[in-house]
Amino acid sequence: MPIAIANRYARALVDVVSQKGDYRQVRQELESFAAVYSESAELREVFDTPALPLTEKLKVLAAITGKMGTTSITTNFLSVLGQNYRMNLLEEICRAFHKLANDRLGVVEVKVVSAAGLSETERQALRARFIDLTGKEVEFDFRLDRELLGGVLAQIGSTVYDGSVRGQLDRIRERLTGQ
Amino acid sequence: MPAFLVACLTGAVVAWGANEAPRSVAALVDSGQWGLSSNDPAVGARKASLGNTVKLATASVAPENAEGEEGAKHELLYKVINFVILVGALAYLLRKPLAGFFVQRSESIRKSLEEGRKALESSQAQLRNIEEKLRGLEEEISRFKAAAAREMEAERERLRQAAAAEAERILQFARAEIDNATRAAKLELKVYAAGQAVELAEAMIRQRLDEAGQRRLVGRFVGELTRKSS
Repeated sequence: MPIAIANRYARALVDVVSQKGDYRQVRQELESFAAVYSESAELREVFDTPALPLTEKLKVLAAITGKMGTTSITTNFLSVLGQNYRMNLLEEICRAFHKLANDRLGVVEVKVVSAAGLSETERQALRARFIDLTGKEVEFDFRLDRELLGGVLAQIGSTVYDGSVRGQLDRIRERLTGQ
Repeated sequence: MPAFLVACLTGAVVAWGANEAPRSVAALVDSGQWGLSSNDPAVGARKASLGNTVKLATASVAPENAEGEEGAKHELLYKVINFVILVGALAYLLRKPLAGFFVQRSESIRKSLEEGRKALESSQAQLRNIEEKLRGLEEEISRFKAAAAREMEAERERLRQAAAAEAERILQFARAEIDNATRAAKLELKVYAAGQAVELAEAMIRQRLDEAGQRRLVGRFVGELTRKSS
């Protein structure tokens, strides 16, 4: 149920941004505010408690967004969430907005996990290969995982491209056991 | 009828020793105490005839004591005549009743004999029937014994086959269990060996994989993506 509600809010925000905004900027502003919100217990308490009047909540929100320099679209959207007591769904809304925005922009998100940090040359090479592979603009999410031992593991949606040493060892183990 | 016979015999015997007796017999006949009804005309005629006969007999023996030796002969003659008359009278009187009695008796005996013969035939028929049944029973018993023997043999064969099938089933189950256990043990051993081999390989890779090796692995991954995209 919360995911459905988050999708509904995210879809509304995407519609607004598609008319007069920048998806990436709004997304970045939302993620920044979500990080602040998740880190600050006082801020969560302010938006969660019904004891505080709505005007006071909006004053707090305006102060924070003012300091963060968010656009009016983001500020208004956060105000709506505060009025409707949906601020606790902010992380889900961010994820849903990211996905919807990428769909609207024709961008494919690629999660890349490597055992060691990748150089810029390697990243560019990966970008070029995935653009060729998908025929769309790609957006990388690079992460490190030492348990891969070596190589790279990339994932687009539910498709996994496993070039890691861990994956090769797992495949060798499966062949040896006949499973 | 028996009273009449007794009276006749008594009268005749008494007449041999007393002169008054014939009169007594005649009076008895006249008085109707012979057991015959005076209303019956035939009986009345018979009674009159018998009375006359008695009177003649008594008159003929009256001078018995006066005659002596000659008288003894006459007495014997009279006795014989008297006896003959008595027998004739009795035969005359008893002929029809006795004939009817004997006919009836003979019929009764014949019926009894017939019934006895029928009973004998019936008994013999029953005996033959029983003997037949006994012979049939013996045959039935023989057939039953033969059938029981056949069924016992069939049941023995069925039990033997069932036992053999059960033994075969148990054997197959045991073989399957052994095969499963063997396969499980082999698989466990294979998994263990594979795990050991992979752990050993992982340890060696951790020791030997350097920066250049990492670069080569990434380059190989990019090359594979290139092949997939082309």
